[in-house]
Amino acid sequence: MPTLIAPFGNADWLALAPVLVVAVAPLVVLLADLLVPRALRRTSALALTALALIVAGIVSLQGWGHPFSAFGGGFQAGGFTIVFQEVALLGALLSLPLAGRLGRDDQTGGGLALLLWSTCGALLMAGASNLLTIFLGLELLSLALYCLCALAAAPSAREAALKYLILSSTASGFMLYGMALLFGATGSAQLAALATGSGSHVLLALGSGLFLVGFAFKLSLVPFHVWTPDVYEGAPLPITAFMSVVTKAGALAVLARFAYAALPQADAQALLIPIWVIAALSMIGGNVGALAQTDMKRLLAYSGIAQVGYVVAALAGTTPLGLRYAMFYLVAYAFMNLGAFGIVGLLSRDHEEGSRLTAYAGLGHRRPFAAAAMTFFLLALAGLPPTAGFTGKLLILASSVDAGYGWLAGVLIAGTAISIYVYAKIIYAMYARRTGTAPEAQAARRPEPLRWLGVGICAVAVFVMAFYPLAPSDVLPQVK
Amino acid sequence: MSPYVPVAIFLGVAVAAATAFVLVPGLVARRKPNATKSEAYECGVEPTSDVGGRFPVRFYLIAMLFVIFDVEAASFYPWAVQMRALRVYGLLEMAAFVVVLGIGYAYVWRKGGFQWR
Amino acid sequence: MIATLIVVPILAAVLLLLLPRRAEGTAKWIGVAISFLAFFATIGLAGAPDESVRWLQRPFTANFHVGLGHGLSYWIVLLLTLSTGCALMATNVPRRRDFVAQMLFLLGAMAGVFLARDLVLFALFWDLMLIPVFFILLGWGPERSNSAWRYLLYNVTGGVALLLAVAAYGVLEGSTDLIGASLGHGASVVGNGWGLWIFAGFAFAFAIKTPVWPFHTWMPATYVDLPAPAVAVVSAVQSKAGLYGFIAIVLPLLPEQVQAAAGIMFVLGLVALVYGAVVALVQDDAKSIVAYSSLSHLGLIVLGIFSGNALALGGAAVYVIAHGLFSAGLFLAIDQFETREGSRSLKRLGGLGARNPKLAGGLTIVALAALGLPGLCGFAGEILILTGLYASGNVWPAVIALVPIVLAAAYMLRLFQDVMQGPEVADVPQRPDLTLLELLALAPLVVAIVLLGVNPGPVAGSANVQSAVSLVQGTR
Repeated sequence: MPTLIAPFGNADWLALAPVLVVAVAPLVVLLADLLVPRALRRTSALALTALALIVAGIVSLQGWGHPFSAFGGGFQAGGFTIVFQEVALLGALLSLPLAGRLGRDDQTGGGLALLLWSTCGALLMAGASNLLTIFLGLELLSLALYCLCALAAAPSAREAALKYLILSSTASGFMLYGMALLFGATGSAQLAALATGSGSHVLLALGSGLFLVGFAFKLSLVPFHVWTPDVYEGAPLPITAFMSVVTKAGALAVLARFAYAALPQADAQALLIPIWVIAALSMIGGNVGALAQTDMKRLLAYSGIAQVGYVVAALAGTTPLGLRYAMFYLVAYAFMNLGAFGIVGLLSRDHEEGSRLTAYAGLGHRRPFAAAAMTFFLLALAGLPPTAGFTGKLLILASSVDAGYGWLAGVLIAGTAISIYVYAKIIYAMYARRTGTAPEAQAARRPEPLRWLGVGICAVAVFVMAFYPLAPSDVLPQVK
Repeated sequence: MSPYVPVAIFLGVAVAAATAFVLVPGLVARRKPNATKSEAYECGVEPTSDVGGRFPVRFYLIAMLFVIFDVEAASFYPWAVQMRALRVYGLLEMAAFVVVLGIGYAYVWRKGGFQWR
Repeated sequence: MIATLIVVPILAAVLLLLLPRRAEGTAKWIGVAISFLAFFATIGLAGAPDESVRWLQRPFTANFHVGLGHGLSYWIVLLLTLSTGCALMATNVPRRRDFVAQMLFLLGAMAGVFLARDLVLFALFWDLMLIPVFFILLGWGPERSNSAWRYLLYNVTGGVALLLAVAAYGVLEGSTDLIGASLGHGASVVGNGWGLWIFAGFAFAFAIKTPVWPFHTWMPATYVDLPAPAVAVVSAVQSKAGLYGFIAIVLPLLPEQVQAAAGIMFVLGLVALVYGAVVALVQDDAKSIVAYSSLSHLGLIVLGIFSGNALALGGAAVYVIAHGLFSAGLFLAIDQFETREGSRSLKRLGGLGARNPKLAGGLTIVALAALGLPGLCGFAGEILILTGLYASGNVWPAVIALVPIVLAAAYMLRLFQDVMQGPEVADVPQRPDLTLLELLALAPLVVAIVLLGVNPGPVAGSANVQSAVSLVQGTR
């Protein structure tokens, strides 16, 4: 009888450690939810979740310089993986302050457990170098999110969840078909097998095309973006914030690894051209779509489409520098976007999320600090100094020119010019004077130190990153 | 010959068989309907309403939980078959699986998922 | 210590917001004190060595590199600090604490533009200086006006084009430091297909900011809507950022593209020159007159810059400072009669001079400087540019440029006559003349106008200008 022993060695454990931390922690959260007295449930669930995310972040960093692999090469740790894992963990952690009111009281524990599992999927995607691991990570990420999207009282939440489920499954279908064709082309599920360039060109082209369509959908790039605004609007605020960073980090990791390491050298540039075109469309389409929005969550959904377009544009030409700047901009985007969501959270009252644009009228006079912070994040999203958005855009432009994709840089400029109008519109609403409106009675507000802490961290990070553009080296993806 | 020819043959056979199953009875079968043959069940209670009627939503919850635990239980079979080959590693793996399942079970139980309210 | 000229005003602006809202007088005097301190600090720092800290290493070298020198940068920063101080001194806008904070932020950001010796840093401050003006338009401009929009959209569009040009230049050149580039490294971009695009990006941004016709349409509305202290600084200094960019960046870095595009820029400059003057003739709003006259004057400077003649270039430098001085003076004077009479319409006003002799005197001097009276600063710049144009063989542009200079006399005198002379208008209440404070706000500008008019040599680069670089950084 053949022995099936020892698929798991020490290297596997080390490579998977951060994923495992986030995979096991939800069980603890669930148990705590059953055992802890009712009054402490929310607090304990939040604290445990935050602790798990922080521990996972520290564990992940320990792996720097030790590119172990697990699952027989299906999961590859190393610098590339760590960066994307940290972004995903960061996104999850910074959406926690918003999660104080997630669902009903008895749903918080379960909700946060799902949030952790979803993060776990993203962590898996960050290192996935095998078609199966990619799919496993993606589905883990998505399945938890379908439930989380429905975790609000409004009917629109259920609509969002259903839309997300159906459309996302369709995308998964495309991707699976693509994966099947890629498998057919090489006879192996390993990305490394693709890179050797053996196998049928037709199958390779078709398979990578379908695969990229699936990921363009997950990244909500134009023209596969139509679901994003509806889902972002309907989902509860913390989940929207979470999705806007964590899913994008996971999907970008796969896309970048696929583009950089999986395609055969000879065909890579030609096969990837559609992705750059899609990035260009997103930079324009996302910003144009944001023009007419009157809801902050929808607006940030469209703006996120454009922002991811910028990140993908940095990858154009698949230069090592481009990858580093894509990572830099992704981190910057995480901070500025979560900061903006943090302000939306601060403005929300018990029954109404502060996401209507009307909630921002005169904010500069009513709540000067919130308005100032919002202005700062919007300037960052628009790419104006002194923010990480400015430096990030400069670096992306430089890498596009460097890689010979000047036209993409031109499109980025055009998209940015349009986006100015989008973001300035909100600033305008916040600071413009209105005659006759007496300052409205100040409703007694609960102090919200946790949310302010989140916003403060984001603001400091966005400012500091403008002047210390740390783009880590040694981050090229590896496949084995 | 391309390695995909067997796939094509398999597809062709499948389509042909499925078509045949639908078409052939219509052509050859003899029809002699009577009241008993037309009933929904050969035995048991007479259906009182249309099958398209509305079920209480709790039914779906229970059904879903059943499916989840049933499918997870099905995962035990492969392990059971290869138990000796997998040795301690397989045992630990399965123990971890059961713990996860158990925590989920406890959670559903305590949250009242099994109560027909 | 050059960096303090940038950092201190910005920090002060942030700290001002911690003052209680009602501390308006305190805020104002803090603003005035910081502006004048910066003015004297600039004089003290003249010729100080550059300061540089490494910023980016990849994809190209970029530094936090600031330098003052004693050339054009130095003079513009003097103009900036002086005009900000004067503008803040007599201001009485509402919500003064916030206003002063915005003005100090503007001061710091613009100091950054003129002190930056690195393209990335320059682009950073370029975008940064737009933000306070946008907020001032929002908070202190008239309601239901879209000038804030137009200002921001036009200028940020220019700003992102500038960013792309900077990035492309950095990638091709390997460094964005201007000092390295001025030593001849910049030449390698030339001949590359990107060279023209980079020039286009720079020129687009600078042309919008200056503004050069036909990119000027945001300008009149912005100038009319900004409160007086802000418009004095914006028209005096911020509009010079574009011209400074042409002189300090485009001329040394892209000499061949400048030659290739000189014809187009000449045409644009001439159109601006004539168009601005003609439109200024028929305006009723005093601020509009000055706004369109700016368009005309700045067109003349564009001619000087692209003439390729050292004399004209020196003249352009003088006129940059001169226009700053008299346009700040004009806007402040207009504000002084507007706060008295509640109007700046030429049709409604009249005969103010009889009871306000000090105000009339102040307006006379700045208006005469604007129309180019010999002995005042405007003349010095004009004569240098025109002589340079003529000497470089551009006879017809020089001739055409003379016409708007004559028109300048017409619209400036019309402004003065309609407001100060003629019969007193019955329904316009006559208010007391300038207070000591208002007089003090105008006085430094008037003194500078006379000084520059009598001795433009230091600004023009008296030891004959070798190149744009020596003009900007000063020759020893």
